[in-house]
Amino acid sequence: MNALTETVVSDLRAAAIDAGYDKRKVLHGVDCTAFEGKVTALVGPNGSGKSTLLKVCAGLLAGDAGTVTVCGNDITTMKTREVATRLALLPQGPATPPFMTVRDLVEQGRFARVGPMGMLKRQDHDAVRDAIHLVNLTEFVNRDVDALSGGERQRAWLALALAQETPVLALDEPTTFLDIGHQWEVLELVRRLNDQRGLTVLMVLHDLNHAASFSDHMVVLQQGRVVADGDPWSVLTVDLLRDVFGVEASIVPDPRTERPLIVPHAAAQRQVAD
Amino acid sequence: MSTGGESSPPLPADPRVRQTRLLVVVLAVSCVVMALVSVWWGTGQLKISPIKAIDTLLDPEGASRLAEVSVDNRLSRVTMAFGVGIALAVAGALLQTLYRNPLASPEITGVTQGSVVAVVCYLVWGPAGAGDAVWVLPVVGSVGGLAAGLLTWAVTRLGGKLDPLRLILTGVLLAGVLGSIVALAIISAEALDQDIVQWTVGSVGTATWERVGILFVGVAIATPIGVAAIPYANSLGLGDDISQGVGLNVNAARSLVLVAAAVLTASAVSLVGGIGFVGLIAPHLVRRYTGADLRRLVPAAALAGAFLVSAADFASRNLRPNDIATHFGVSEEVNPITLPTGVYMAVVGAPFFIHLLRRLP
Amino acid sequence: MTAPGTTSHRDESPAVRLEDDGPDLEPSSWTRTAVVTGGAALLLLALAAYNLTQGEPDASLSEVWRSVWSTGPTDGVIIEILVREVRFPRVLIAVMAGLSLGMAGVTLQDSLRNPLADPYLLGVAQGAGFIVALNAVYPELTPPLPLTILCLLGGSLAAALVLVVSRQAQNPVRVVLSGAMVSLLLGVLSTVVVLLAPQARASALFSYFRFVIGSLAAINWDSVGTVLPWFLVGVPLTLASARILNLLQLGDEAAAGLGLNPSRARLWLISISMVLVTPFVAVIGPIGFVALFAPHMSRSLLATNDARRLLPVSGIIGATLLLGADTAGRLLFFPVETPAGLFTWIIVGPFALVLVGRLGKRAT
Repeated sequence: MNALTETVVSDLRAAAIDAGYDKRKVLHGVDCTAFEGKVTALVGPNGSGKSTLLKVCAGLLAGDAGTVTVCGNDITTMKTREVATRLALLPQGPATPPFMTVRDLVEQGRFARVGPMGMLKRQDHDAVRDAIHLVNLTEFVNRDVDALSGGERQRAWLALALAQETPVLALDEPTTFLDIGHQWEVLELVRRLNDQRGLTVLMVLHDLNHAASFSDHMVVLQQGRVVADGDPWSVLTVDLLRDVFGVEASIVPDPRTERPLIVPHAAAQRQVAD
Repeated sequence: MSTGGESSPPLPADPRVRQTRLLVVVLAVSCVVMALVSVWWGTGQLKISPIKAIDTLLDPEGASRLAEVSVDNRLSRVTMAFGVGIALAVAGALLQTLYRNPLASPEITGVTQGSVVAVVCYLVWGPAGAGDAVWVLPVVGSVGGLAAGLLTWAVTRLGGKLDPLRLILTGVLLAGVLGSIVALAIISAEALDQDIVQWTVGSVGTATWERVGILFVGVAIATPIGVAAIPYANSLGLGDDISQGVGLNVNAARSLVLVAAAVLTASAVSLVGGIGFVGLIAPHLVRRYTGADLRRLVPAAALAGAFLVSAADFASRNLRPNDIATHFGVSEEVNPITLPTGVYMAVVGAPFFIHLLRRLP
Repeated sequence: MTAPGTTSHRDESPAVRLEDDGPDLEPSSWTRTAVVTGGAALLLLALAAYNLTQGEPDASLSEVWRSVWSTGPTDGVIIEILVREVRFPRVLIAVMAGLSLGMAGVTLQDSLRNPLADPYLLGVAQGAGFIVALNAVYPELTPPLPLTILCLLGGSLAAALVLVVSRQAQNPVRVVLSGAMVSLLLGVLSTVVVLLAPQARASALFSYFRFVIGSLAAINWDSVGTVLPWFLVGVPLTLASARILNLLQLGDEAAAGLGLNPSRARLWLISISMVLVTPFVAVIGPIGFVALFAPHMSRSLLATNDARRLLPVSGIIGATLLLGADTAGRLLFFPVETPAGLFTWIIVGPFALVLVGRLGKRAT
């Protein structure tokens, strides 16, 4: 189907990334890997560079140094279409034009696969149908996206990414602007997709407990540098929470899942920045 | 990789597909009716029954010379109106999606003004015998319109972010330049050139088959570009990040959409003048039924535009200010002319625009 | 701004200190104001002197000086007649119009709390233009009033329509959009009037087109006489309203809490800016973006939003801009004259666009 090397591993590797906007450098030598078939969560305090790193990983922002490889191919040598068949991205808080139905939206995800005139073929329609079914919006397929509830809307956008049928999925804070029920709905859906389809997921999350509950692997950023990297139990420590997130907290096992659960009890005494 | 969802149930049919089909049929019939009425109904010179009009078309030898000329003239005018309406409506639909702004339209994005400025400058200060060759003005107008469109786009995107204020202000700026230049041209010509004045508002009244031919050459060049641009424009409507994420070369796609819209607008405007509001209104009239997807929106909007312009031209031919003035006994105070098509578009379009603006959040 | 320890021997007159302008302002900002005002005024003077001397034929500065101040009948010296009867009134009108536009710009921006409130963008020029066209072709349809008052009515009605249509006078996008569309409609209506003019009246149309160009070429002492009363009333009223403007910047609730009726204050401020601007529109036609650009330029030069200082400085900058545009338009392609209106569009316009981008960036 394409001239690139045949996919060996479905993963996303960013190595020694420097990046920023104009003169302001945001990332300094960041290494980050989303392992095949795993859910990797990217966490960090506000302004730590999580979203910037995700943009670099998705090829939306060119880094100043370092390499990003998607499924073994350097992202800078690939065409946008080729990237889009390997990695799907859901940006933060996307806006839908008025009078756009769920189906119209999800069909856009097939852009990289359809012919030049944008005609959808049989397999495109199948992919759209599957994606909508996976996010459980089959009944809502003819509804306008801007008339849906927040959680349904986010699921519709997720379906757009799924319709791309990529091995890697990158999500930028998929739970923002959602209330708690819808947050869990979306995260459980991501987890299920990972289980059922073996998707490699890299997502930026704001809530540490979400990250601990739904990820296999966590990367913690602080001021543009990786300060911790590993499975949730090894990453989340009392010291890290105090030093990076500025909170005194206990970490207890979730009685049901045995995953770490953070119970904050005070703001940490901030040291004067050196 | 496997889709893993072979068992997913079929999706319910999209009611908007049916709605669009119905709408397209209704609009097409309306256009045909409008064409017949336009040819048949002309106050003033000659009334021709529909039968006679069709007879004249089918058998020119048998018909009277006057009827033949009249039918021919009116038919070319209607065809011109259709072409202009289609071009402007499609351009409007593309621009509204590209700028992600429901109020973007050819006259707001500077293409119309650029085209008119270029043609007026050429007519007044250009080489002697200007406008002799019938294709000269459309080419000049297209170049002006494209240049202004690209300028507006570049200015609007300064600093990397799409800035709606800059978009509107560039249009205002170009409109100011246009007003000044047109007035300057009229003053320096030392005689009131009714044609130039008519032209700034836009009139289909200058239609001849030759000009219709040129318009359709322009439309024929622009339509494939426009159609090819539809999937790109659809994607761009979701924002740059999403577009790139689904595999679009965003800059190339934008240029393609912009060029398609500019060529469409310029090919219409450079033949009939600065007719406004068509590109703004037509997509809004149909979007509720077709949805935002340009694959359905564009054909319906094109027909709506064709209907709008031909209806406005019908009004222009039959609502004669002189007749009204005669009714009030002041006919000698009013120049016995017909008002250009653009006047009627503006009279309908401005209130519609106000309605749109008030509905914005 | 005195240290706590040093105030003890002065606290017998706190009320006086509140009346005083001093304590709430850094002394250096007044220095800055003085420097900017002085610099702009010098530039304006130099520009005026240059404008008066240049042309066909050129005049020396002493000739200009003599022509301007000589009161008796000119003894047939061409240059004196030229300077006194043609160039001098033209410079005077350019300066007065620029001052008015600059001050009206500040008044409108601050009273509507909209950085893009500008008489041109509010449709004033097109409203006045429609009245001018109507008055030229069908004088019997317009009330028998002087053209300045007709323009005041037409311009104010257009601005009111734009503000009503926009529904949110402080929202730049909405106001500019409604302004653009109302202007488009009024422009079409003016064209209708032009087209309807019968042959017998067609010659009257040239006054309309001369108006649309936005030019100072036809200025004489009569035009100065027409606008002078408005100018002499409008400028002091505007300067006197500076404190109201400062209050309104705090927001409607805060202003009301301080004893100001915000709606009435706004109506008053918009009215006096119309009084300032429309007579000049009647005489020289539409001049775009000066009233938009001058206030923002003075804001960044002075680094303040204090209307008391902004108003005069913005006025002087506006005068410099307009006189500069007219001088350049008159002399650049001499003897062909580029109208000041066109020149401001082409020169001031791009600056305004860049400025808008910066405003947008600040807002996000």
